[in-house]
Amino acid sequence: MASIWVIDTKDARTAAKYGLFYGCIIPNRYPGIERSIKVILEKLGCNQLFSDIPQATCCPVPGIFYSSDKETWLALAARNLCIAQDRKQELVTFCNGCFSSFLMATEQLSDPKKLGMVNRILKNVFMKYTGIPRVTPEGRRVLEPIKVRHFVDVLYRDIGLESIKSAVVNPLKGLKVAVHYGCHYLRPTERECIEDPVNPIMVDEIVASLGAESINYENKLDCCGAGGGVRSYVVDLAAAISRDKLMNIINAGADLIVTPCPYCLLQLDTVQERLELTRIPVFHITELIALALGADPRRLGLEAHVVPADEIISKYGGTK
Amino acid sequence: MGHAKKEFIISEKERLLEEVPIVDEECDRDFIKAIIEMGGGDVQVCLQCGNCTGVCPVSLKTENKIRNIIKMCQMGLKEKVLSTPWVCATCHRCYEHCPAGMNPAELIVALRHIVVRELGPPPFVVSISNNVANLGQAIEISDKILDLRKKIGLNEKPFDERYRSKAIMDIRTIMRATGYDKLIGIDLGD
Ligand code: SF4
Ligand code: SF4
Repeated sequence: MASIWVIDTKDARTAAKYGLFYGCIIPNRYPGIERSIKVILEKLGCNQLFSDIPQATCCPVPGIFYSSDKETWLALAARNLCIAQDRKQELVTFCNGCFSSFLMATEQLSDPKKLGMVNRILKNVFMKYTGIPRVTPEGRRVLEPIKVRHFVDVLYRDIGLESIKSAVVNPLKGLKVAVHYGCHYLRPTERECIEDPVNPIMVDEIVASLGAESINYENKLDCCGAGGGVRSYVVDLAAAISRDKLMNIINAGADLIVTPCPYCLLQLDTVQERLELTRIPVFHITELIALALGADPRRLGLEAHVVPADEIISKYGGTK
Repeated sequence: MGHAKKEFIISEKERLLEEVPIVDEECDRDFIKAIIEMGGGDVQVCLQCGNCTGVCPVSLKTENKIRNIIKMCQMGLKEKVLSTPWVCATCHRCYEHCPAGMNPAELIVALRHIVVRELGPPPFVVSISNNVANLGQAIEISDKILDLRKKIGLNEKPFDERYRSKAIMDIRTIMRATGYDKLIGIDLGD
């Protein structure tokens, strides 16, 4: 069936290799991340490879949808996947939650029964999930599932640390960074296997390539406490789990927390209002990269953060 | 809050330690079937070794021990279990450490499905689902963030207006087709 995205035909032809999927938290709570992403791609000279996906909606958030009705969750996720499919793009996420949701969806859609069920639903919105047609080297036509990527993976594997390193204009010398990966970046291991789940290194190495130091701390791979609905359901429990993490980070002498997930960021940032601890700024990895690549810190939207990052900006903000 | 004090947030312990014997009527023999139907897997394979509880961030902080929840499922103690499933970060640590190949996180999701159907969805599920049905996104934007977006040179509206109404229409159509609107209690109008 032809897609109803008439406006898309032109759009799809000009679509870049990667589609940027911002999710819900980035545009609506921490827009500086969206801005940072644009700055990074421009400074690295690869913005032609990326484009926004203007039709995208909530992934949808698994803690709500996967937890209450798997069918609805899968159909809503497939709707987003169909858009990437029509644009022949890899779907790049900046959030562990979206990443996990889409990976799980592509995995489940490889089951013909589920695929059939979803396509019966998607028929109502004139869409069909097939995956992207490709021809193998042997000349066989195959349909490949949509490639779902985490931006960290794209940066590390496709763009490369050397490119980042050579684009740094504000080396973050002396900045001690505590990296928080977050659960859905790592687990379940058979799905989220972009790197060694018990010894992940990509974010640490990106931090190091910016000139900062990634410090070690106890229970680095622990949960922030917010996922799966805990933050919404029992806010005190999420706070208690975050507190353990934050205490370890502060005790290790970090100046800053960096995470590849805006939801972990939201939790670790906002929870500090209720905890009697030393306050420590929390950044998304893209914000830190943008800072090191010389973005104007006044245009990084850092005022959206609860814990102010003024000190770090005045020290590393470069030429203002 | 005291330093490094162990905090128990939700206490099922007192209730569970009451020396009231479990009577047959409390045990719902069909509970396991319902769990399997909802995709939770067979709880009977659990060995009760406790590895999951040992690595679970929630079990560490509350008396909501994941191993206990599984045991209660095995015994069919449905009433006792239905107050627990939203207290799980779905971090999948339990799954990674389970020697029996159980996936307690998926079991929790199945319990959530049962809760939503039998007791109704918790309020945050209703409000976030409504946001997605009305805005296309889980989170509402504030005036402050709209201003900030403009100030830092982004489109003021995060959602591209050219596509917004079609996207929301799609979402609503999907929710109607799966019956999600009725399940959660979302008013989609006509
Ligand atoms: S997924 Fe849930 S039950 Fe399992 S370890 Fe994480 S919080 Fe505990
Ligand atoms: S780790 Fe597995 S077998 Fe052991 S108690 Fe938990 S679910 Fe049961």
